Amino acid sequence: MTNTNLLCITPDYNDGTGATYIGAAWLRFLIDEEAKKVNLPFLDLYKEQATKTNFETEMQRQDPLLVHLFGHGNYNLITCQNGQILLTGCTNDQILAERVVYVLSCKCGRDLGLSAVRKGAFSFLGYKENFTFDTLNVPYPPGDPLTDKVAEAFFRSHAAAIISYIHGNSVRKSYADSQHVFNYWIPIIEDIDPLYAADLVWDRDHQVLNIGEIEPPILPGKIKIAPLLLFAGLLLIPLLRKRSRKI
Amino acid sequence: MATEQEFELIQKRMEAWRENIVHYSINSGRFNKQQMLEHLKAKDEIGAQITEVQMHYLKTLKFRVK
Repeated sequence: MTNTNLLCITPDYNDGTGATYIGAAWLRFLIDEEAKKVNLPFLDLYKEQATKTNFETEMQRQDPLLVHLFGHGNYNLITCQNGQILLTGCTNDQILAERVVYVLSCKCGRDLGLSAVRKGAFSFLGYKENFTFDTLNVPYPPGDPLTDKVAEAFFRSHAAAIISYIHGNSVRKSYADSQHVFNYWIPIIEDIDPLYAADLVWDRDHQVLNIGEIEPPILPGKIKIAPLLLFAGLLLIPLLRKRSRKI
Repeated sequence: MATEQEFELIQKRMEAWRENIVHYSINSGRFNKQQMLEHLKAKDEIGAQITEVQMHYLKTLKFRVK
């Protein structure tokens, strides 16, 4: 039985492109902050902490239901800090069994994703081809990626999936929500430059959700207070009537 | 695999785009406009990737118009 908490692995190193620097900044801003907002216990293995050994140790110790992986990848693998291989399909992906997995990495939504759900992962949301993105400004580092409006569209669209799940929606709904956010940003980015929009459309159309045989559980989201208020209001009506008669 | 015509089409479109484009493919690296044009002219693997992404977009535009 897994625990209802979140484990993220967020490598950030000099990969020669700045991609992990930009991605890590946005993912930490969007996902970690959202987990804090709903008091979801989480651990983010960031930068030097984002190693295979730490990941395996924390997966055993925390036994999280929810996992977010970020890093360079390929059809059957995903890497972590300094390009170290973190997971390979049919080798060590059984570690994802009984977990809801969200991945921002190139291509691994195809083979690794399928392999993981065959090994018992509840679900695996990823990308079956390259995840591409663009930025308005350079260079990164040392610039602040969080000020880049074009990069924002890509990472908000991706993160919308896990954020939706964190808020108590089903995995299928979280995928649909992410697709809606992609669709929200595409015309906005088209107005800046169609080149950027082409990458966003590419990512949207190659985002894939693999679901295993067992329906993924739903996290208890925020308590919906509107029905409670309505119920309390209905209870109060007879009391108020009695009181008004007395007056 | 992209055809000769597709490579040329995307190259022409890219020549018209803004100069300060920075494109990232998480696997393949970071490219500015000049570098992307070089890959398109060389018709190499990265040029093919760029062409594939842009052609995919143009095809979705066609469906949107319909």
